[in-house]
Amino acid sequence: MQLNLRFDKQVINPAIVDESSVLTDLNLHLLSFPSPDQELLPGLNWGGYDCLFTPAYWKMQYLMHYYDDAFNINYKLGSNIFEEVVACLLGGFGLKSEMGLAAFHRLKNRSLIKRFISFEAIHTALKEPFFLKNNMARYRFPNQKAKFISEFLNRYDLDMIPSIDLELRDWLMSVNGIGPKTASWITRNHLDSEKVAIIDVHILRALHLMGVSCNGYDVQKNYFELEHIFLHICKELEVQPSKMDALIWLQMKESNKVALKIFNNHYNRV
Amino acid sequence: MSGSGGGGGLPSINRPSATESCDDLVINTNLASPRTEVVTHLEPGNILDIRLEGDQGPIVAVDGNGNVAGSIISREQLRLLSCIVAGTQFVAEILSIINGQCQVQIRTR
Repeated sequence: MQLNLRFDKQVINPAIVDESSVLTDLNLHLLSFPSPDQELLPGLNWGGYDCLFTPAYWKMQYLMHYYDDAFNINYKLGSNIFEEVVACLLGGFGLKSEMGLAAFHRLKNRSLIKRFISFEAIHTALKEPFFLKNNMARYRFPNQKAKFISEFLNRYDLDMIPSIDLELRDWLMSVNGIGPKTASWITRNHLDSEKVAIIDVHILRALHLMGVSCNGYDVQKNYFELEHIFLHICKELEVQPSKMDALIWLQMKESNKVALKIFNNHYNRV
Repeated sequence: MSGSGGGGGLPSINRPSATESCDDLVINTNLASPRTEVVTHLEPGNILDIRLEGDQGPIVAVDGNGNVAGSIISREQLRLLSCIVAGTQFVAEILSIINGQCQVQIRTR
C-alpha cells in the first residue's frame, strides 16, 4: 500500500472538533452497546450507533453531548417564569425561531415583561421592525401575541403559579394562547422537568425514523399519547427526557433537509 | 420556536467549532468498530477516504484498497453526513494507533 505522509497538511487550530478523549473514555460504552438487531422494545431494534436516527444513534449522541461541557446545550430562555412564558408565547407556529427570540429580547431589554403591563406597550414594541441578518423584518403576529402576553401579565393569580411540574403544566394550559406543547415547553425550561416532553414535528419525525410505531397519532390531537411514547423510549434508553428532547430537536431542525429526505425515502419504501 | 413547520424548543448549542462551513469542518476522533485486519496494515500519516454507506450512514473510512478500517461517530456526525451529501469530500488522516484505537483527523480533501 502506498503511504501518503501528509503531516504538513495536518490542521492544528482551535476550531478543530476534538472528540478523541470523549470516545476513548466512552469506549467501554461502545464495547457494551447492544447489537443492532437486539430489541430495545418489542418490534423496535436498537440499530447501529453509526447510522443516523436509530435508537442507538440517539443514545450515543446523548452520551457524547453530555459527556463534557464542550457541547453543552442550553434551552432556558428566560431568567424567571414570567420571561419563560413570554418567550414561549412569542414563538410558535409560523414563526422563525430567530424572530421570536429577537422579539423576546426586545421586550426584556425594554423592561416590558412585568405585571400590569398594558397591551399597547407590548403591541408598540412588537410592531417596530426588526433587523435580522441585516434584513428588515416584521414580527408576524403583533396583535395576537400582545393580547396573550398582556392578558398573562395581568392575571390575578400570578403569585400562585405552581412549582411542581405537572401542576405547572396544567396551570399554564389555562393561559390564553398556551396549549399542551407550549405548556410542556415552559415547564421543561423553567423546572428542568423530566415528566413532560415537547412534541413537535421534529420529534415526531425522529420517532418515525427510529422505527417507533406512533399509531397514526397526530401532534395536535394526540399530544399526551405521543408524549407518553417518547417518555417511555427515554426510559428504555436510560436518558433524561429533557436533554434527549433538546438534543433530538436541535439535530432534526439543523438537518431538516437531510432528515426530510431520509424520512420520505423511508416512507416510500414502506 | 422552529421554522414554519411548528413550535418546539429553542435549544442552542455551544460548539467548539464556531464555523458552520463544510470546508472548515475538522474533526479529531477515534475510528469506531475498527477492523483489526485492516488497521494492522495502517500507520500514522496514512490517508483514508471517507465514504457514506447508505443515506443514513454509516460514514466509514476506507483504505486505498477499498477496505473499511472503521466507522465514524461524532457529535458532528449529522453535520458531516449533511456535508458529504451536499458534495463535500473528506479524508481521514491517521494520527495515531495505540492499543488498537485508531485516532484520525477528518478534514476536506
